[in-house]
Amino acid sequence: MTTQWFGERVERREDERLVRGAGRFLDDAGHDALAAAFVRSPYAHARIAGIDAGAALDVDGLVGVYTWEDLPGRLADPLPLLIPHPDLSHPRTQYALARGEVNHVGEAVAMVVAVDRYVAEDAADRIAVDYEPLPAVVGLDAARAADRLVHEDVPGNVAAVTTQELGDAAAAIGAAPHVLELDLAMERSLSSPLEGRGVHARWDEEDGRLRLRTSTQTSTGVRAAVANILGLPDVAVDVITPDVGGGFGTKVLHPYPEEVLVPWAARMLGREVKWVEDRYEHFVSATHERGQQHHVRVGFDGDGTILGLEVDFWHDTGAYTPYGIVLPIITATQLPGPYRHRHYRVTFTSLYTNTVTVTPYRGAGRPQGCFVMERTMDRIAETLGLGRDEVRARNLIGPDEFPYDFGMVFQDGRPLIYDSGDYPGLLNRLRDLVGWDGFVAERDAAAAAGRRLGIGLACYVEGTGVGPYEGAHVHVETNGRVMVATGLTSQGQGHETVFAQIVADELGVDVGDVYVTTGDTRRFPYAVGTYASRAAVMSGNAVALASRAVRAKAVRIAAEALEAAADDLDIAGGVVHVRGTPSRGIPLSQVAVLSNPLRYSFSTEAQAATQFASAPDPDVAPVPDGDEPGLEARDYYSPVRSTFAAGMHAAVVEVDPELGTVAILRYAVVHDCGPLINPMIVEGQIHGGVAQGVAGALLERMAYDAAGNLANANFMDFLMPYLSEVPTPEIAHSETPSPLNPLGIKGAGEAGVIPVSACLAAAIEDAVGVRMDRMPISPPELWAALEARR
Amino acid sequence: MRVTFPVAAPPAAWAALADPDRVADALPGCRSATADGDGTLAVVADVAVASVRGLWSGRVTRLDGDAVRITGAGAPGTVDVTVRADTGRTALTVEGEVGGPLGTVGGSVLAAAARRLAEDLLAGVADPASPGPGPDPGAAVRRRGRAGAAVAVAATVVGAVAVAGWRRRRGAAGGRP
Repeated sequence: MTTQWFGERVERREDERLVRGAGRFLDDAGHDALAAAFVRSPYAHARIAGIDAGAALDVDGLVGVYTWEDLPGRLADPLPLLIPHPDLSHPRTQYALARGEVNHVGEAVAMVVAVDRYVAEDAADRIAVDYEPLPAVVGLDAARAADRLVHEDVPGNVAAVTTQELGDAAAAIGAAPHVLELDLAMERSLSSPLEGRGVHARWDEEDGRLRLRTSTQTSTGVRAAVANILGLPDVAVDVITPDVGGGFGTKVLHPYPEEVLVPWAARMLGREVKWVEDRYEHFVSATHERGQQHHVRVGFDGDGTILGLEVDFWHDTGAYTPYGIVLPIITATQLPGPYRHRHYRVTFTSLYTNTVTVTPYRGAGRPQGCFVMERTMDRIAETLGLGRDEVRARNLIGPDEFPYDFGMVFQDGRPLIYDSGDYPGLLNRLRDLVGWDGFVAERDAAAAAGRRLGIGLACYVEGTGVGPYEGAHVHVETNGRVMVATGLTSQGQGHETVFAQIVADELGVDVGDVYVTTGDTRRFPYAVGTYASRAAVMSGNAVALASRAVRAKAVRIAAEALEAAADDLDIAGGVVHVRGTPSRGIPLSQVAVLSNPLRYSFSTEAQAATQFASAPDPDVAPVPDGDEPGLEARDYYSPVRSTFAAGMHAAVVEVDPELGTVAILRYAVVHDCGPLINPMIVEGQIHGGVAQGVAGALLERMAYDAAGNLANANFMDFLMPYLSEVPTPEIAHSETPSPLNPLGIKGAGEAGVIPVSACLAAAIEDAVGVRMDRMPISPPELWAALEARR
Repeated sequence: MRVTFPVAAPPAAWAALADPDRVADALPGCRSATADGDGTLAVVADVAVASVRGLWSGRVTRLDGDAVRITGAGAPGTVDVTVRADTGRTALTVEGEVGGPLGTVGGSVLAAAARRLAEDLLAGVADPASPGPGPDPGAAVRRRGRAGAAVAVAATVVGAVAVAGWRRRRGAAGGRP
């Protein structure tokens, strides 16, 4: 009897503690720690003429006030440029505390440490910073105009200009029978996880070790940066990611200033220090994303086949570029979507503005690229009087065309080659799922009743599982528990469950006997992080490979004990047994005992491994050359390039022309991330992604005024979707395996969010005929557009 | 640390700094100030900067011009700074090294504490009738309406004098530099 866990809707093992309130989040630790608070710039752009902490002296319980002047060694240098790129001609990163100049509202100017957060905030309020305001550059129009500069030594506010080209797009467009030009734009938003950032540091003087807890998406990244900046040995820094209440990209940036300042203070003061981001701080100091303007030229023939595509776009990178130009590279390389392109040129300009720094937010450049490509498809269909599905179908890459090489470089520095997929199959399933063909009748019936319905669809391809690698350690203990560690972090994805499913299948044990730890450098020190829909692909394959090594060792040891041939053995129910003879077997727990030759027994079971318990071969060492004690193994998975998932969304909306409101009547998702480890968890990812997509399409924007003040930096004014705005999508899965990894899987974390703006824009446009060329669209904006036409 | 701040004191105040008894009366937290005959002043003071508090003892040595060097140590930390008045005695510059717990409060706090100490000292020696520290320096601080907060680093001049002090961190702090 073999149980298959892979593919099952196994309930999330982490939920038992999370829903009972027994999770351990950052703020659940360090109740006796000193508290840090930050003085943050109220100006978008200013020089700092002086900082007077005099009035803070009267606050009882103050421990210290720290400015850039106080920072020693590398802590006084600009924070690391995480992802350099040859085209990033003018990289700029911030100082941990502002050095003479601030470049966005919210930039950290001083850190206050006190006996508790109340005292720290009181003291922070009394610190007088003498600012000399400078003109601010806010928004892409101002950045492109470059009448004012963010960094005076960065001409034109230009951080980078990059071009990639496949074929000769200009010539192909020049020869095309039809040419369209479009301008398309998307606004800024931010991740807004339930739990903001937070850091808790403890310096152990006796051991000379720093223990740092941080709500991050990369504990090993933080560890390397903190050790380097504070001048500590790597092995003296432990970084632990506790339960994390959402990341959505913003927590992959590291080190944030607080992640180096708090441990520095803890070590200097010899006291635990903690900082927990408040919601205002999240709005003005955790990174944002999405602001881009695009100009499109497309040439196509009479049946809608794209002949050439040129896209120029401008990316708002905010005040600094710690994450390099990864985001616009993703837009540039994911914009082609599931379509055949022979001639494609894309050029982007990354521009500084006096706003919060931009790094990936779930979707990461893809929602913009998808919006551009899909709006272009809709315009081609409109121009030719063809069906929107029809035009897409004519351009889709066929199932027999893989691997499909774009001749471009993807965000991981590796070739942009689609590995597998069935895009026409997805389109057919989507049409069925949403009722595409019957919609005309539905719309006409509604129109007869005075209702304005529209339908839209949008398609995307998502590069997932980017390298360079992840690893895993799998250890079968003598009590039969299987302890698994992988270095990347979890922010609620369900890793404890899906990795346990993989291990349970590989080792033939119950999923309940597998215990997974993520994001703890003490357990696994080599890792990259959780971003780019990569955890399942990267760590999933790593745990599979490590489990296979453990399995091979278990079978070898059991074969000896059972005096059977290894090839004849199988593992099921936690017992290694002779295939076909379940009674002739040995539990994995006992194999674990035998794997570790003992002088000293520690239990009745362990006596079997002691030196007089058996008559060994006198010429073979207890641990032969090339072997190691213990039933455990470590292995790594490193892909040659990314694997490409795909999906398509369709929505039926109703627009109220009097109110400008949009109601989503139906939402359909077809999705292909290869074989599903746990369909329930994938569907949860899609639900959440669609919710964030709806937010980005209809609600969320960062309301910066011309001076760079963020006018809606709170949950009263920044609109998040409620259940009333979020549809429950109908979901259909396709499972096209990837040839690139042992499990054949692809990533699913960001998929849900990517095409939503494009899809809803198309549906709204279909409903009311108003051109939808920028997202999000608010009810007042839609109402005004309708009014303008009346 | 290096900090310059303006001071305003009548000539009488500067002259009074030469009198150890006046200094002892006027300096917040001062337990004793004793001239030892070779031009230096031995100072013992309770010092408090932010949460760093404790007994500190040191020496104030007169240098050429309107300058003194202050050195000393105690539970709050170590101090080795020069305090120098500008030509018109309108500003003081404090420059040097502060170590131990006092060295962990941050430069802006040290600067603010030095300035406050200098202002309090100059105001106190200029007007002996003003509330002085008395036997309980903490009470003196409270009388001045700065309950619990405090004094600190630093210094002042002369013709003459200055001071600094520190104190131990709270019991729970158990700290290290």
